[in-house]
This record gives sequence, structure tokens and C-alpha cells, in this order.
Amino acid sequence: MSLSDFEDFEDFEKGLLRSAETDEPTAASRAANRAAVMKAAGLATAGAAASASASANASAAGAAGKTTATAKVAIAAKLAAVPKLAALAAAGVVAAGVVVTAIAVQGSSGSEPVPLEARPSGSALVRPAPATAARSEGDEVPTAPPPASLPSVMSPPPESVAHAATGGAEAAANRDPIVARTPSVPASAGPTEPSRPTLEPLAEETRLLEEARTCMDRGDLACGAAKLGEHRARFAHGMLTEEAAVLRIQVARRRGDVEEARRLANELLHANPNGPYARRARAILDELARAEQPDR
Amino acid sequence: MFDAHHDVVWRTLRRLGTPPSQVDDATQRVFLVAVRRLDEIRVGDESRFLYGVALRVASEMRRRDPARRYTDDDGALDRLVDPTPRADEELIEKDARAALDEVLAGMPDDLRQVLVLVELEGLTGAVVAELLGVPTGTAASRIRRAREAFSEGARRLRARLERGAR
Repeated sequence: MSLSDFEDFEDFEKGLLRSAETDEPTAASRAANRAAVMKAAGLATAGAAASASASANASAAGAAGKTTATAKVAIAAKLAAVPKLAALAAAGVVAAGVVVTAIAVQGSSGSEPVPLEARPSGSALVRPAPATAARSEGDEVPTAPPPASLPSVMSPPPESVAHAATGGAEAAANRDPIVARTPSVPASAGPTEPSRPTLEPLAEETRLLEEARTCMDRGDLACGAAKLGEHRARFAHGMLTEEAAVLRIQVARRRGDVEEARRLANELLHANPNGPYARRARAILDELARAEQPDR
Repeated sequence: MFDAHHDVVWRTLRRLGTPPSQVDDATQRVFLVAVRRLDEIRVGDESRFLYGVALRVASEMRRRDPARRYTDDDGALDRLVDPTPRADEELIEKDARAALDEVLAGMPDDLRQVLVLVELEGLTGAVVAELLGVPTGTAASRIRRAREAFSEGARRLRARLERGAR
């Protein structure tokens, strides 16, 4: 049974069933759920984790007496099989000053596991977190301390990212452009308080997209497009680029620019054919095709 | 795993009748169960596992507050038959979803489950049988009854809307 034919149903019923295809959570929901799950999984603390090499490391690190941490590392690696998540989790770790996990991070943005040793230094492959990364309370606590700086369920902006960006900037610089992004905000960046540099990339991204959504909800497509343009300018490789793409498609559709909507949907689909938005992109393309041939 | 399956879990929970205000909460629960039992999940079997948990979480959520009908927007059904043409496709989509949820809410739990899994999530009868722990034949007849119940519900809703529109 293919997803969108609903052969057994009448048109009215088909319409109802199809309406479910494009239902989706907001970016804020997604971010909040992710943060909550990561937090509960102990990921944001043990999370460096997310390194694809974490599992490979488990035995070695276990021998080094970090079993609790490595167990979490394994979970985290499995759960966060996506580089974006890896970056987020990695940031959390640096903030928590968990050295053993930090060394596992190198190469996390690649898809191939990089064999690492559990030694904190000495190997060219190993890039230990700089001392400054182990902040104040992080006195060599081998298993992660309670994450005081974790994002709450309701507020997606994860502060830990900010801490990582400040405290562990050097460590982060070699890992992932998301974490390492320098706070260079164009002067015309918008209504952000100028005194606050952009140290919280995900929070900033979330805010921009929420603002775009708000503009669109009140029918102000120009404002929505402007926010999305700002997002593209500042977060070309951000964590919510696909979410932004979906909003861009909506703007194009609502402006009646079918060609642009189709182009963007194809782009989204091809960028990540198995991603969370592939289905959405296909549904949109189907709809656009249907709209052009009203007599099916 | 989270990114790949989040939206599917969210949508399934929503269609299974989880109140809109609790869908995020329910989604988190599903993934937390997955985290706890990660070792039991076979590689490649993640989505089946998540569907199974989502079914249970959704019925739990519904049991807690079974009396209410959950649609995002009370005016949605009226607008569905509003003859005034509207430019905003998304709004129409949202109204259709409210109607869909209305029909689903009127179905018995067991039939709603299979309808959502088969028609909206595209699972096969065999997978649904396994998920629900019933024989394939039972699942097949349940799917048939679910389609009938859905058609019947849609027919009734449509009749009601058409009466209301006049």
C-alpha cells in the first residue's frame, strides 16, 4: 500500500487522510523534545558521546575506569547517529568538563568511526579538551555532574552550547562549524540586543525561525522571508537549515510562486532523501503536481 | 534515531488521539522508553519499536482524559464548509485535519490504531499484526473493519457538515 493513493476511499475521505501527511511538529517542539530526551539520557553530560567512535572506544575507556561514562557514551552514540546531534552533545560535554568524553569527539562530524585511544593525550588523533574547558565546578568528575546548565524542557535554547562556545572554543574549533561559529553578527542582524553576541547558535536559530513563523502566521510573508533570509545568511550550515527550508517553501507557495516552491522542495528532498522532511517534501511536490492537473 | 523518527512518532501520537497539548510530552516519553531499552532494539527495527511504544503511550494518554474530543481548533469544522474561498491552503489543510481527527476520535480504539498505522503510516498488515500481538488474520479483518468504520464516520461527518452549511 503506497502512502498517498488511498485507493479504497472516496474523495472526501482521501482529503481527510491526506491532510495528515503534512502535519508536523514545530521547530520549537522538535528542539524541546530533543533537549528533554538528551537530558534524560544523560547525553548532554556524557554526551561527547555522540562521536561515532564512541562505541569503538568503549572497551578501552572502560579499562580506564570510566565505565559509567562510557555506557552513556554508547547510548549517546546510538541515539545521536546524526552529526548535528553529535555537535550538540559534544558541546554539552565540553561544558561539563568531562575530559574522557571530550577526547572521543574528534572526527565526530565525519561518518567513519575514527579509532581512538582512551589516553587523554599523546596521540595525534586525540585532541584533549583544553584545561579551560573544565569549568569551575568541573573538578575532574569522571561521571558527569548534574547538568546545571542544561536546557529545560520548555526552553529549547541549550545554554550548554553557549558555555561550550565560550569555554571550549578552541576544542570546538576543530570539531564542528556549528559549535565553533564565531559570533560575527552582521550589523543589520535585526532586533537582537546588540550587547549580546551570538554565542548560542541553536537558540538564535530557533528564535529566528520562530519569528519567521510568527510573521507568516499573521500573513506577513515579506517579514517571514526576511527572517528566513537572515537565517540563511547567518546559519548557512546551521542545525535547523531543513526547518528553514520547509518554511521557505511555505512562503513561496503562499506567494503563489509554484516554480520556486517546487525548486525548493526538490532541493530539500535531494539534500536529504531519507531525512525527517523527505516525506513532507514529497507531499508538497505531489500537491503542486495535483494542483496543476485538477482533472485527475 | 531521534531526528530520523521524531516526526513520525509525533504524528502517530497526534493521530492516535493524544491531546495537542500533550503530544510533545508523549513524544518524549516514547523516546525515553527507547533510551532505556536501547539494547533490546535490533538495528533496523527502530521504527517498529517506536510505533509499539507510541501505541501504548497514546492509549495511556487517552485513558487519562477520555472525555474530551481533541481538535486543534474548534472553529475548524465550520470553516471546512464555509463557501467563502480562501487563499491560504495551509488553513484548509488544518481544517481537514480537524475533521480527520474528529472522525478518528469517533472510532473504537482498536480500529483507530490499525487505520492510523496502515493508512497513514503505510505499514503492512503483517507488521501491524506483530505490533499488536495478534494473528495476521485478526489484523486483516480489523483493518477491513477499520476502513469501514472510517468511511462510515467520514460519511456521517460530511452529512452533518452539509446540513450545517445550509
